[in-house]
Amino acid sequence: MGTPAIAPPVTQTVVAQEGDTLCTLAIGAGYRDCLPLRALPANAAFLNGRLSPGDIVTIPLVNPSPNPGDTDRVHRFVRRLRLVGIRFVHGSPTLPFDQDPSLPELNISNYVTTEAGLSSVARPHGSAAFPPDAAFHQDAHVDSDAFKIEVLETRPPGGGPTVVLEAIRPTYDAGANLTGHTEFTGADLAARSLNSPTTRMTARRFRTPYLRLVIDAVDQAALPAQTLLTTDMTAAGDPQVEILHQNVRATYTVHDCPAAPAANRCRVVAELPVNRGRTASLSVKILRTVPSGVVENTSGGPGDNGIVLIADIRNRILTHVRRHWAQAHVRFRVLRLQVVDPPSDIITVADRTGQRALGANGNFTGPGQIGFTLNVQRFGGAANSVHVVPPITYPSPANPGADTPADTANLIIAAINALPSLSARPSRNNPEVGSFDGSVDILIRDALGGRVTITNLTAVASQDVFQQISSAGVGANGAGIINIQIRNALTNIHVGHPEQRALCKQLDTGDQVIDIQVVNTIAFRGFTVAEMAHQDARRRPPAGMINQIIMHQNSADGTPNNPFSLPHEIGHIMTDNELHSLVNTELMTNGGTSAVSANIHDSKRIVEFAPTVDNWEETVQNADADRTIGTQHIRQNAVARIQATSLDLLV
Amino acid sequence: MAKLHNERITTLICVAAGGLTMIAQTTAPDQNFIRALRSLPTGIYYRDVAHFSSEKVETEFRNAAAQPELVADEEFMTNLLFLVRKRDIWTLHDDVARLIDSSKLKVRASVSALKTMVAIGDRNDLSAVDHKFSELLLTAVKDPRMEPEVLPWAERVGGPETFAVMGRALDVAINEQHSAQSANPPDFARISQLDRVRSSLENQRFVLKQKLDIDGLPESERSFTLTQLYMRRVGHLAVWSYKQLVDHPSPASAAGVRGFLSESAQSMIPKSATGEARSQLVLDLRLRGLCLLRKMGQATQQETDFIERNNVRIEQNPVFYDPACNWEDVLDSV
Repeated sequence: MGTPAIAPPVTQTVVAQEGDTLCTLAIGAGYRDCLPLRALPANAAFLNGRLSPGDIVTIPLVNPSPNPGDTDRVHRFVRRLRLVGIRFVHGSPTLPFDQDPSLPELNISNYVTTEAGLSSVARPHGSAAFPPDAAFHQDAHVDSDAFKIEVLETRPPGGGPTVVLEAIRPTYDAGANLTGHTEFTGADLAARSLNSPTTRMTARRFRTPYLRLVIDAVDQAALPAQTLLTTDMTAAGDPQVEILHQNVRATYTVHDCPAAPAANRCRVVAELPVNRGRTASLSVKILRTVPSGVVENTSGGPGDNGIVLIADIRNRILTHVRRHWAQAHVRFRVLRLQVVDPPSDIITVADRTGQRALGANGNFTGPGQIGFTLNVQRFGGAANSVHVVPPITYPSPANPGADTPADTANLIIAAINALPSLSARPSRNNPEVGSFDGSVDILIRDALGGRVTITNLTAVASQDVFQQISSAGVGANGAGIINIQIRNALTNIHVGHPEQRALCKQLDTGDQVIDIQVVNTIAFRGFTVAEMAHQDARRRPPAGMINQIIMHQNSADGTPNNPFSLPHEIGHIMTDNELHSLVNTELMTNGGTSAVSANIHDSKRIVEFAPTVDNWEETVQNADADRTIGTQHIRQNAVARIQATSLDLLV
Repeated sequence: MAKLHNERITTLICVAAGGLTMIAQTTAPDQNFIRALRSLPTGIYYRDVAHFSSEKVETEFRNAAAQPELVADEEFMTNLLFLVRKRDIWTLHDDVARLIDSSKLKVRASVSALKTMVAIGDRNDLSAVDHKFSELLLTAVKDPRMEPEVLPWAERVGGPETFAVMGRALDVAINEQHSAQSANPPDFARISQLDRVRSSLENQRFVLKQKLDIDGLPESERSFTLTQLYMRRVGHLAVWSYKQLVDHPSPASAAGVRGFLSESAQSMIPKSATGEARSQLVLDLRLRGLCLLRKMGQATQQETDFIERNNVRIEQNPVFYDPACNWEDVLDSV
């Protein structure tokens, strides 16, 4: 008996690499197309036409066929190869196309959608049209966020390959942690996808025009052939979808793949994350005008009766704030969003001047005095109380040398602390520019959770002529309006008005959190006190006043009005600059943010390149150390500044 | 008032045209200018509109005044009128007066216009401003929204008529507060609101009374008292006093300043200050007073020399010694 013959294998397996498709593997193995591979049950998982690196593909062996010819001659056989591939590139002015690096991630564009180029005086943000070129173009090249899709195809269709670009939706677990991605569907997908033709760069490399990621339909509509919409889903009822959690997928479907249906044709895919960015935390307090003792956390809850609804400002954060800060790689986490009562009144000693007491009243008929009534409004069945603090002479006759604001504050605090359930503490302010010392605020707390208002404060004429004492609160006026007065001069912006201090100091949740307080009116659409870290220590706000935003209700309500105001105010904190960009299209414009979102030239960009002309004004500590504060024009890459100055706010 | 303004307009037109009568041309307002003035350009935000020249403001003011929808835009007009007084654009005096008389401005813009007239007008205008403001205040005291819009500015722009209205309003406020405090159960929010109105009226009347009293004093005594208020640095009266002295300097007013420095400066030293500390405070007051005289253009060579010898000290706190208060400090700061 001879040795039994071993049956030759009828298939082999290969491990798929990046760029492989059933078609390319089949052609490499000697087949005309992918149909023989698709016919194998072992490849059933790949019938959708897409292979991922590591997939094990089964390939039937080609039956050998006789090839008559002499054995003493050299015969040349050509192995048919089909190469396809796809990747994201930015391009370069000098490198060969195949040596241009692939991009590791994508970024939301910071440019006015239709503009590009180096900045100029006339058009500081972009000096040329965004070119539709597939080849290198310097004007587009300066926008580092611009990208192109490159397709490698050794057997291209006549008009060049077409690429499908689409945003990919993030998925989350119950803890709101990013777990993966899935495709958008239906109209959501239609709005977030783009078919982009390519142009031949070399014999087998093709590129799309320069493309950009944009965050709203306005930008997309301005240049639909060169933009991909990567935006939120808030209006569609899915507020969890983050722009910076999305991916972008580019797909090239092998044009001559015979698989049916068409959706199952072989294709190559490249998918990149949108720069995930970092997270800043927000704490939002909406004031209600009629105190009720309720802290409402739930939208539509019984205590959701503030100046605006919880849903109103939440939507602004989840749309406008999210969209316009995505270009600067910042996401936001809402730590708390509450409707609260106006905080208690405060007492301020020597506001503005920080002066010592002279020892004489305004009429020079005796020493200054201060008395007042504390009204404690309690809730939940606890009894209200009213406490009359009789006039206190200051400085104390027993210690006439104790005449500083802190000394006087201590006298008042002692009187309050002697009252049942009430306690008070001092909160010092830095001096205003021009003053030698700062004022002192007195913050009052009721152990039973009551709200304290101050009435019948001694009239100015009977107070010390140098050191005057006032109360300040944020209670509603007779028309149910909470109006907060603001101080914003170079000399006093770091101190603020007593009403600002009453609001912010008592609702503060920490200097590493961006606090947002919503009131009925202030003199601006919004007002922000940043850290001012570049100022001398005496010219900075004290802890408790740092990173505080006060929003006018017109910029926080459920209307589409003033959509850029809240993002703009956050920008003061992120850039740690109380002043503005000189460019109208910038979110931080000095020209007033746009009233509605309707145009690509709206004030919504955050510059992320080094401008060639001055584009910003900033407060600056003058060279005289802590004496005065000035301003200067600068050239600023705002995103770079944010990353340098606000790391403590970003996790 | 209206007649006076018309006469002034004629004069201004003739001057501007070199003797030829001309009609002011208005064009469509500059949208960038309008957009920039949607935000209140006070304080640090003045930097945002600083690039608009006074001529540009003047032109755009006239353009805006010809547009009824802009005149009715309370926010824009309030801010525009602020810019006019911040820049002290007196050439718009008659235009502002016409706007005030037209009664087309909304309340906040009206108050802003009256403030502007205080800044760019003359003494004759003040009585008209007082009259107009007293009317606004009289209306406002019947409207609970008065707090943010009208009341805080009463002592800034008001005069005798306003003072009288404030007196009547104060009586009402006291009674209302007493009633509210007697109610059972008490409405603390209402009591607090009424207290704010009452105390604002009371304290502002105290300030306005001082201003009215000062206006009735002979010049040397007037400037003596203004210097005293300026030196105290307390409240709005200090900057108002400074502006009064600097804007209307004379040898007589300078004498008043010197009189205060020599006779009363010592009385402004807190009792706790003794020895070297007291000497330093006396020096501070003297330097502040002499810098004021210099700003008034009234400092003698000897006084100027003294300032120069103490320049190092002054440069350590220039805003204290030489504050350069402007109309924003007087009419708008809070």
